[in-house]
Amino acid sequence: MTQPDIDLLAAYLDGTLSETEYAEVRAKILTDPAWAASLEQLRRDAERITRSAMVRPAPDVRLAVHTNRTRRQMVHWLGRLSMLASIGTVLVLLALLLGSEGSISVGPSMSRLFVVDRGNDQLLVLNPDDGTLLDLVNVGANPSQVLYDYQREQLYVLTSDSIEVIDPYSFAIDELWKPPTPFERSADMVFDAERNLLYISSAEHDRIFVINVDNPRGRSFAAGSSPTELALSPNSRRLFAIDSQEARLWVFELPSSDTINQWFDRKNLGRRGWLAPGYEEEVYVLRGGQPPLLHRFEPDDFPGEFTQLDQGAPVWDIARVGDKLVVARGDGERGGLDIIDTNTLTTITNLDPSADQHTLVNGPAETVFALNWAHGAVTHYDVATEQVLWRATLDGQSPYEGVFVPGQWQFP
Amino acid sequence: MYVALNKANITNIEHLDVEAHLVARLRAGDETAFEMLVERYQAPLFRYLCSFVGDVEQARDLVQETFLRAFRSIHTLEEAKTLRNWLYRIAHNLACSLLRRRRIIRWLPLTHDRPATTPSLDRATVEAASVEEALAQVPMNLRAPLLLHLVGGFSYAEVATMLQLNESTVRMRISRGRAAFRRAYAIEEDHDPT
Repeated sequence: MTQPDIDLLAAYLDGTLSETEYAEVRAKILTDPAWAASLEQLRRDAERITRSAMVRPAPDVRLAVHTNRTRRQMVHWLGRLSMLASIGTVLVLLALLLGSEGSISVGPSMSRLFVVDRGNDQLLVLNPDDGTLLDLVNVGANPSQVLYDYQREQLYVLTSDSIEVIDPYSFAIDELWKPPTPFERSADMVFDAERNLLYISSAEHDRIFVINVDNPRGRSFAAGSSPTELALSPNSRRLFAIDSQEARLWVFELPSSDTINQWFDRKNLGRRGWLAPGYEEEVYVLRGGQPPLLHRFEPDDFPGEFTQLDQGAPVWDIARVGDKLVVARGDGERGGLDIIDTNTLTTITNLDPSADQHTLVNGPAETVFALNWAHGAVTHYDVATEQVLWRATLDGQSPYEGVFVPGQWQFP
Repeated sequence: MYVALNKANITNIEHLDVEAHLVARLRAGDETAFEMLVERYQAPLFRYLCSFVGDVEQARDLVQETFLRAFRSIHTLEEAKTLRNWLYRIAHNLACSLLRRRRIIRWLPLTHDRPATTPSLDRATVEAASVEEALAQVPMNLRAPLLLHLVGGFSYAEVATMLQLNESTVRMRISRGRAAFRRAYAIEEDHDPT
C-alpha cells in the first residue's frame, strides 16, 4: 500500500470522501484483500488509540484548580506590591550610586533556606534570618527532598516523577531527569559530593537508584527490602538505608555498593525510622513508637549504644548539630525538640515543648530549622544556646524538607 | 422547509444552550459556573492531553492550567458555541509549550546491578503503554490532529480551525499520523513478549 492509498482509506474510514471517491474505494476494498486488510488495520489502530485514552481514570481537578486560582490571585497582588517595592529599591540604589564617588563593591549573596512544599508542589525560598518568604518556584508533583550541590551551585529537587535541577539564584529549572518509573512518596535522596552521585531509595522495588549528576544515567542496586530513609557517612565511604517495616538497617560500602553489615532488631518491627550520620562512620538511628528508641550504630563495633527516649509526643526526625543530636517531636499541638548528648545519648533538654515539630534542616553554625507541614510553620533554633531565634507561619503551605544554602561571594 | 427535530438535533441544541448559559455566567464572574465548566470538561481534556503528552501527571497539571487560563481570558471568547473548541485550543497550546520545554528533560536509562522482580501488568495497561510509546514516535504536527480527531471527537473542519490549517492539510496529516502510528506500533508489538 502506498501513502496515497492509505490517505484514501483513512478518508474512507472518516467518511470524508466524495460520492465518486467513496464508490471507487469501496470497490477496491471488496475486491482487493490488501485494501481490506489495511482498512481493518486502520480501524483497529483507531480503536486502540481511543481505548487507551480511556484506560487511565481522569482525575478530579476541581479543588486543585480552585486552590490554584485563589493562590494566583494573591500572588498577583503580591507581585504588584513587590514590583512597586523593587522600583523603589532600584531608584534608591541608583541615587546611591550616582551619589557615590567610588566604584561598585563586591559582596556576598544572601543566604537562603530552600524548602519543598509538598501540599502545593512548590519550592519555597525563605530568608533564613527571619523566615520571610522571598520566592516560590513551581516544581513537579509531591516534592519530597531538596539538596544543594556546592561544587556546581545547583539544587536537586526530588519529585514523584523526576529530579529537577534548579539554579539557586535565578530559580530556573535547568534540567529534569525522568526515571522510567515514578519515584515513590517514601523515597529519600542523598548526595555523594565525593563521587557526584545521587542515591534514591525505592521501597517498592527494593533497590537504591544511583544517578551521576554529570552524566545523568542511572543504575541501581538491590538493597534488602523496602529501603526508605538514607544517610551517607561524612567521608562518603558508607551508605546507610533503613527498612522501617522490618526494623533493619543496611550498610553499604561505597563505591562497590556491597552490603557490609545489617542490623536487625526483631523486637521493634513496624516502627518507623530516621537516620542521622555521625562524625565518622557511625550513624544514629531513631525509631518511632512509645517509648522512642535511639541507637548509635557503628558498623565496625557491633552492637553500639542504645537508649530509650522519654515518652511524650511522637518523634518525626533526627539531625546531628555539632556534638548534639536533635529530635523533632509533635503530636499535632505540642512537641518541641529533644537535645541529646551524642556521647552519652542522654537528653539534655526538651526545647520549645509547646511547638509541634516534624522535620529538621541543619542551619548555619549550631542552629537547626524545624518544619511543620501541617501548620506551615518554620522555626529557627540555636541548639548551642537552647533558644528559639524566630518562628514564621506560611499560610496554606506545607514545608516538608529543606536545605540551607549559605551566601557566597559574587563578583559583578 | 420543515426540519424534523430528531434526538441528535435536540441534544445538540441543548448542548449549545448550556454552553451559552455557562459562558454568560462565567463572564459575570459566577464561581459555580466555573466549577461546572471544570466538571464538564476535565475528563475529555485529560484524555486528549494524556494521549498527546504521554504522561499522566503532566496531563493533570495541563488540565488545571487550561482551566486557569480559560477563566482568566473568558472575555476573549467571541462565540459561546465555540467554548469546547476554545478550551481544547488552550490545552493544545499549553501541551505544545510543554513538549518544547521537554528539550531540557533527559530520560534516565536505568540499569540494574543485581536483578529484582518486576510486578506484572494487566493487558489493557500493557496495550495503553504500547500505544503511548507508539504515539510518542508520531511527530507532533501529525499527532495533534490525529488525537483531536480520534480522542477529542472533532471533525476535520473543527481541527483545521483549531490548528489554523486548511482542511485538506488536516486530512493529509491525520492520514500520515495514522501511518506513522502503525509503523511505531508494529515495532512495539514486536517487542511485546506477550
